[in-house]
Amino acid sequence: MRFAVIQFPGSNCDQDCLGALQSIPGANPDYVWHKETSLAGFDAIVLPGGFSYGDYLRCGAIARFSPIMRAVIDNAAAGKLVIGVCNGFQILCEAGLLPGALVRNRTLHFICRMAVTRVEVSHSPFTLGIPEGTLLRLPVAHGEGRFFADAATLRDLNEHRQVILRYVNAAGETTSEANWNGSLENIAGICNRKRNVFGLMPHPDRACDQRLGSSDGTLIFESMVKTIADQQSRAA
Amino acid sequence: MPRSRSGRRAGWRGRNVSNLAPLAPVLVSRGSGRIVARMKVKVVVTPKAAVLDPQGAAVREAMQHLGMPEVRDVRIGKYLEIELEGDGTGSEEQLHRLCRDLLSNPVIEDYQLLMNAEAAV
Repeated sequence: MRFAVIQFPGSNCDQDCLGALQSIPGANPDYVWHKETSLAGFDAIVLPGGFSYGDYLRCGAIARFSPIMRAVIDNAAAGKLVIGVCNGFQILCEAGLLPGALVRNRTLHFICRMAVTRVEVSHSPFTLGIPEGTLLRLPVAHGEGRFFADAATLRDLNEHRQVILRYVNAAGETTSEANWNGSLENIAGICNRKRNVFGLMPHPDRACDQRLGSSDGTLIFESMVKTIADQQSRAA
Repeated sequence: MPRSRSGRRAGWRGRNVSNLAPLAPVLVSRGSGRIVARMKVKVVVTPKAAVLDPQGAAVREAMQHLGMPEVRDVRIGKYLEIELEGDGTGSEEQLHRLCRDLLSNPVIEDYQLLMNAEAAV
């Protein structure tokens, strides 16, 4: 099962994503340079974290016009799984593949720490078989990760169960202290209406080895592999 | 933390805020001796009212500490100066499109495009 890890100038979690995916049985990741125009032959797409184009103008604002993004948008429309982590989430929002936007943290600080997130839906391709309410320990490292959307969009996201992860405290409660970047309703990750595009600020790619403090990120990548395997066996 | 006000105000005086008035095209000479028109366009991008602006809030507090307790609100945006070759004829629509697609994010920001309509001769 082939995963494309897109490399933009300024991506710095591309190796983390590649390494994490190499540890997932069934996943076979490869880098794809942002100047490429085709993603033919890939089963899933990963937009890694980093500082594409130096975060100039707005995070992800310039990367969304990279040549490869046409193929990402087409593949997303065709139903392929797309996951955007951190800067990848910002790019997906800028590209209009996900609603809302990510703005400066409430505290103005760049925050680098382990966060606790709660799985809100178990029927997404990215959380397949992970029971609702499961707590995932995933590291976060960003200055602009405060999720914002207008009231109608937020209502829509909740109504269609598109919020996949929320920041919570150790007891699994969505407190305002646990919402350290000030995201609306503690939102840490959302998917699109079709549920095949997922963006999240925490890094599952940096949580795939217990020696790094958590291996909870593997659940997300394993879920993608399982979803694609199911789709392919149904199609066969 | 409140800072001492002494000796600070003098430095503030005389600092001009950039003039946002639209510019008319100017004629510039190129090395070849050819004269071409150039035009400056200004774009101001501001966070929407509904978006919390923590940078603006930090600056507001600093201004209050520095002797202006009457400062109620500060919003921080972006200001772009764009130089176009030609007199801008026919560029306005494309500039608006790029303001929406690239220069601002309509989810969180508003923009104002300042160009001299009369320049289109």
